[in-house]
Amino acid sequence: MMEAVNARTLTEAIEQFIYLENELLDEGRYGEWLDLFASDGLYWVPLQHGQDAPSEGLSLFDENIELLRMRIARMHHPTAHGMEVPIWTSRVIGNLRIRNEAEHITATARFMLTESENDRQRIFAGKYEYRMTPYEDSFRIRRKRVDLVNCDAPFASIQIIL
Amino acid sequence: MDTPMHALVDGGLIHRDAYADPEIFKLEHEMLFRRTWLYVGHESQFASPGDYYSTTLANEPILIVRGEDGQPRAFFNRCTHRGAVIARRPQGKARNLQCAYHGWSFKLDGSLNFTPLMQGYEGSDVQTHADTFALKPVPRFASYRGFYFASLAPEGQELEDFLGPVAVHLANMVERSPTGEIEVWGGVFRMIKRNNWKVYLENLHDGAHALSTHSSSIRAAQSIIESTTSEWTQLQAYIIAANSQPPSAMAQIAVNCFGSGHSNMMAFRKTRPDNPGQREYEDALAKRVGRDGVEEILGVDCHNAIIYPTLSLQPNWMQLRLIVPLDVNTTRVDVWTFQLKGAPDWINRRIQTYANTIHTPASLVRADDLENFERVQIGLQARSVPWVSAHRGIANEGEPQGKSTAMSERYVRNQFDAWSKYMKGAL
Repeated sequence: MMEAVNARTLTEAIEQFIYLENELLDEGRYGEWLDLFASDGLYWVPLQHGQDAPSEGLSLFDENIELLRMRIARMHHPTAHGMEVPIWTSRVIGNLRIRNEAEHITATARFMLTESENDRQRIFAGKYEYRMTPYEDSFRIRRKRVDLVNCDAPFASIQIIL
Repeated sequence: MDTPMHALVDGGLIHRDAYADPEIFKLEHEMLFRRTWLYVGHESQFASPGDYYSTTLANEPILIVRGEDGQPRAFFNRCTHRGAVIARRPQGKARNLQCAYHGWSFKLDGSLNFTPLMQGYEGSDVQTHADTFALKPVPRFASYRGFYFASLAPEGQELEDFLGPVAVHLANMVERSPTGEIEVWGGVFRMIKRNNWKVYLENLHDGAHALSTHSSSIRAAQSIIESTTSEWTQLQAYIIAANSQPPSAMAQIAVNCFGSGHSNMMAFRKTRPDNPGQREYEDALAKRVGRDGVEEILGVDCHNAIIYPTLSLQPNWMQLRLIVPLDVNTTRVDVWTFQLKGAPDWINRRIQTYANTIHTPASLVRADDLENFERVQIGLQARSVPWVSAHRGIANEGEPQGKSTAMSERYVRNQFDAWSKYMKGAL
């Protein structure tokens, strides 16, 4: 009984953490978002289906904390021309699955992300995979992997973080 | 089109219709894209007998397949029966090329192999002239050092004559490999740009936009370049921060303008770092070509070369960009990354790092380029303001061809010199 309660508590805590992570992105609170990552954290979006590691092929994003900090600094720069007209996003996530593994907790979720910029709207959809470790009373992300359903399709500029 | 053809280019003045009029775009297909040589693929994409690769040639679906005899051939990707496309996937392997619709099949050399339900064709051309139902070959298809080009025009310049002096940069990509072999690797970045294809092409040697367009990514990269302890993070930041060079430095970067609209631009980033990885790579290359050979090959320090109208290559970083005009206001650019076969991992990771930094649709450098290209395309909808300027450097560089720099727009005028000739049917 006790174990079942603990499992449920863990699930709820992870769920809340992932909701927060998505909300910070939708609200453009990138500094706080970056704080959710461990210092060796990685944000990775493969270009091809079925890629096991960033070294196996090209990536839409393959960024450590420093490169993410660089990306966020550019977004906030007054002459980031592509960001002059604000970009808005809204995400819905579901199908949360959690595996408690030896080295880390792996959580996967399906997402649907709507982006609006310059009177245009487009959809990104796919799977989020978080590898995370407990940290104080929360978690730290070791890796966020995003598998887009159309990862290998032609894209107009992607300026948001998925 | 309000303006007669001959009046669209006037010295440094270019009429907005050249970029924004759908009728001109249609005419470009007839006069330029359907007549010239266009890049279609690399030999590593159809390496063994039965390997096929499907793409487009001036909007027409084509299929490149390597035959049992080892010879690659290019056909229109269209069944001779009811017209269905035969190869649906971009790449694959087949013993025969079979149409999914009624099952007609073709041998790898394009000849008709099998027609189901033959009894219905008795006495018809399908039975008596089966050879006329072979897959139709693309009129011209030729390789330069493993890079395949095709043309819808049955006659015209030989490929090597067409390429002229920029052919050395294709050769240079192959020569950079310690084994003399290269291969397409890692997937293809395909990028949608909301601008006419020429707006993009005219940016590729432009040293004058760097500071204004890229200040946001330059500043961001400078903020981590000193603090990072990772070689690869530093390389990414360096690749981005190199855009910070002032106009005085860009004016030292050579640009050369050749016939047929081709050109090249020398490197503005340091491409031979003094570190163990580079030394290991150069040692490996020296085993094949000797130390003098290494200097000769890596001494061709080209940032990018344009093979007009639709190809741009970056030999230093083993990147090849194919420009696919979709409509007058929209362009797709496919970026192929090559790996040096048999080379140390370091050099191939360096190539990968460049692609992931610059050519991903999520590139923070490219984001501001694309925004500005789109601004051009929106601005050019103002038909009331007919002309744009490509005057920079014209006082000393009035002729389209010759030596120039990254601070001159000579290469733009050179592209329009070729464009005008194609559009008049003179090329």
